[in-house]
Amino acid sequence: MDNLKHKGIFRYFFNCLTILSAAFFTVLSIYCFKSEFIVQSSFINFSFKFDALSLFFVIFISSISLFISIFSIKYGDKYDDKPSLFIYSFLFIISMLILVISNDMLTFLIFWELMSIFSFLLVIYEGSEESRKAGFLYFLMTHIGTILITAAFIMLYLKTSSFSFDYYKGAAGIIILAAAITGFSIKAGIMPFHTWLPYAHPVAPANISAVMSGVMVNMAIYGILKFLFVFSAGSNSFLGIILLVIGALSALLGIMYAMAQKDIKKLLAFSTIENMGIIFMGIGVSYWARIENFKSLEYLAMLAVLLHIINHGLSKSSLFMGSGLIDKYTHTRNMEKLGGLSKKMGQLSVLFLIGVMSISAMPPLNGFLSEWYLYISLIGSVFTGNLYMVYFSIIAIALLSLAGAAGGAAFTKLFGITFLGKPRTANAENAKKSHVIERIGIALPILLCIYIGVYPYQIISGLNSVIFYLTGGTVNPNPFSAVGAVKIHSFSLYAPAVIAAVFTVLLLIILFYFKLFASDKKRVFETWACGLDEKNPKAQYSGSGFSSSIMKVFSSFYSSFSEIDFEKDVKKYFRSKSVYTEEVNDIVEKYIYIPAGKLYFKISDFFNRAANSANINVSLGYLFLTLIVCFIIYIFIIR
Amino acid sequence: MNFNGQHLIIGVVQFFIVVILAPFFAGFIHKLKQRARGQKGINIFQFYINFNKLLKKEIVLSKDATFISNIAPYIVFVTYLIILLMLPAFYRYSLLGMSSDVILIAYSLALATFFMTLYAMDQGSAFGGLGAAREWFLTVLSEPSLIFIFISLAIYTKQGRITDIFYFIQKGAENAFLTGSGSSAVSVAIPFLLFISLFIVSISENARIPIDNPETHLELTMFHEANILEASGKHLGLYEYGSYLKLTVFLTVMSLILFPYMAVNIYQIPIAFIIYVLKMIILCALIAGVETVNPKMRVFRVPNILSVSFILSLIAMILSIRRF
Repeated sequence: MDNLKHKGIFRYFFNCLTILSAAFFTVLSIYCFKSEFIVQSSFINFSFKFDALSLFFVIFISSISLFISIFSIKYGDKYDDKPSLFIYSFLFIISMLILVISNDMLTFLIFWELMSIFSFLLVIYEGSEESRKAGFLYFLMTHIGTILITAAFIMLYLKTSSFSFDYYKGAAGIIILAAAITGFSIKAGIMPFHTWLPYAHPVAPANISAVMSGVMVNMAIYGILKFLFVFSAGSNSFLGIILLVIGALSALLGIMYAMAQKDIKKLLAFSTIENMGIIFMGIGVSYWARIENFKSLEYLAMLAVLLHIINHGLSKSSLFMGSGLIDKYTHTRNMEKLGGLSKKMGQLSVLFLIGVMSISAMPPLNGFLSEWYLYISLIGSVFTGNLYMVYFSIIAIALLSLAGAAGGAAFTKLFGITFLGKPRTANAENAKKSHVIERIGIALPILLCIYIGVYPYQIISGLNSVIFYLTGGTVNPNPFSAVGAVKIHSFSLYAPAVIAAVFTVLLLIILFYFKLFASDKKRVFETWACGLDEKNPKAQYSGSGFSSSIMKVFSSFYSSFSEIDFEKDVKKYFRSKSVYTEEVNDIVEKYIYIPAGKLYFKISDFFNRAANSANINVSLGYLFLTLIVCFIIYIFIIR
Repeated sequence: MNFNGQHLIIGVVQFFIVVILAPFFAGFIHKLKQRARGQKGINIFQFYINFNKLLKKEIVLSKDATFISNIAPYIVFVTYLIILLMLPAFYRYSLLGMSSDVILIAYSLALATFFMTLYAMDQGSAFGGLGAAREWFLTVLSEPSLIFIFISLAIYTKQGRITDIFYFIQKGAENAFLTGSGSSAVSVAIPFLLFISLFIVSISENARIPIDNPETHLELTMFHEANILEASGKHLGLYEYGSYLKLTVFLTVMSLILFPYMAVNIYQIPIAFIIYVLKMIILCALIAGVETVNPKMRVFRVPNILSVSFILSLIAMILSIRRF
């Protein structure tokens, strides 16, 4: 890359290639809808099928990667020195696109593995110590997941003696489902298995974090939907309840940890865990209702799931892109060093605000809509009268409402500390304006967010074919006939549109009224600082201060550690220097993963010492022992 | 609900009456409090005068203020207006009654909080950040019980819209009163529990004394006032009026749980209106009494009282499930 003239050619080429192939896949899947074909090669056949679920995911992946590619056309220029980023990200997106149309287990697993490998390469792309650590953790966790998924597929193969998905319908028993769901939830970052996600998503370049958080985690949802609603033999409704509870816990803990973060991208990564939890809750209700034969509840919960996949994908990818711009133009991701960016990056702050509102489920936007459908499904499952489901859906409502409020707090912190107030350091002071193409890449998903939030019927009727494919029924999207599905007849599906319209009209009326009939005089003055004229921007409220009171109340969720360190000075109140350190640790990590890692080291140390002892007789003894064990296995088990 | 002109007109009239009455209720509470303390007290209509005065004043904006400062007061005000448009006060139908979903109402309240706290953080004042943090601290604790109250009402009545919920309760109460049928320990207990629970939530959400004291001159002790400390002129007027509207929203819901009587036709409106105002005055007196008797709490005691409210609404929800 010495030749400056050709700098960036990889960036343009591969981003355009991504856009083109996304368009190609969309057209292909629409054109070949309900058809299947096989690509034969010398030793393996790849078979593909275009059903409603794949079509949905193809359109989802390709539209979001379209936005991200538009964004990276300009954003990627800081990675021009190392253009492997663009090649990997292209291959990453392509492997996801092929993954969702594959129709046999070998194709699925191969592209699943390719997706994991390319995303791993992208995680370690920056090459720093932090990213290599995160990459290792990601590699380890994702392969544990792949082992479980492979095991599930092998069991399915043993049962049906076929590789094709067509023969798996109704074949998966409880063990297969459990293995597959555990494997996929590692990829989705559901609570006990989430540890890799908050490390891996932030260290990747922002456009890649956007793909990983907005799209890749949803591949796990694709797998779960395929297993639970297509392959499942269907006689175990408690699995739905387990998914509901795990999802609710992960929603709550995800957002609680998000609130504690200082790093913008880490906050967003924890929020991904929350949203995956919400999606899991919907899947749980839907699957439970499917087994217990509450048809309309099943359809409604499935609608909540699919809608939330779209909403989360749109808002999360736009927020990650926005955080990438903040990182690029201020060279920091730490909120405590930012502030006042709204002045320097006006348009970005408006886009970011709408994205934040969408993801924290504020009413006129799309995020609210899917959470609302989830609430209706949970209320519907209370009405079913099933003892266990009533019990757990009440718990789920409580956790979801707490998560909703905490989400508002976490994202107020994100937006308020980053964009409002005075700049806290020189980084924020010297922020430059972002390029228009970058902002277009963010604006497109934001516009879709507003559109879906205000006028959801188009998308709901589009989703009906997917709901029909998965569950065999549809939800009525007609605005003026209420959902007769759940026993509550009067929950009005068209409320968001009416409210948004009335809101806009009233806002305009009030604005004009106060423009005309109130004093319009304005004076710009400094903020009152109790008479002091010392201009210290650090005197503003800090991000960790913002969340500390909530964290104090919910302290049992965290394992936090803080200390004040100051020089031993005689003067008690006029210390020359004091250092405050605070770190918030994940309780799951602290109480499960680190002890498990220590145990692993202990065991392997023991074996290491036993096996590698200097005594040759002992080694020969082991050899003999192994031979005997193999012999016994051969005689008694294999023969 | 058949959509006709009469409902539309009465819905609009009801909305305007409630919006116009809102500062009166707030002023009444204030007056009662002051009289109870032995002060002479303000004019009951003082808050109207204040609002009018604020409209005439100029706005002083901070140097650090962004577009948030210019739109947030309007959005907060309009959000409360929207919620009032959904609520029935003394007539069975409201203007947005068909869209008056209970969860929508709870989340709209969060939207108003969201913009108010962003406004607080916009000027870069330390007090604003403090107020925003505390406001979310309260919201995180009270929002679950608010949603639980609304959802247990929805489950109890099997209705989703707030207008239908209260009409159902009214029907049940009338039925029980006239024929003596349909009333049980459960149907009395649920509204009672929900009333207490909602009373605690509304004290915390409306910046009332055991939890917040907006009248002190120390910004460090404030929740709500610290958020709008930098507001002036018509922005302050909008926030103040917005807080009266919020108070009216909570009082109206409480009044409907306490004594559900709404006019179903045009002839019942006068008596329904009188009953509505009477109920509101009684509730105002109750709030003033609580405010006079109690001292302000420490901030970290607040979760205790809010968890009481949560547990009460949980009990109400369990009872309402037992109904079928």
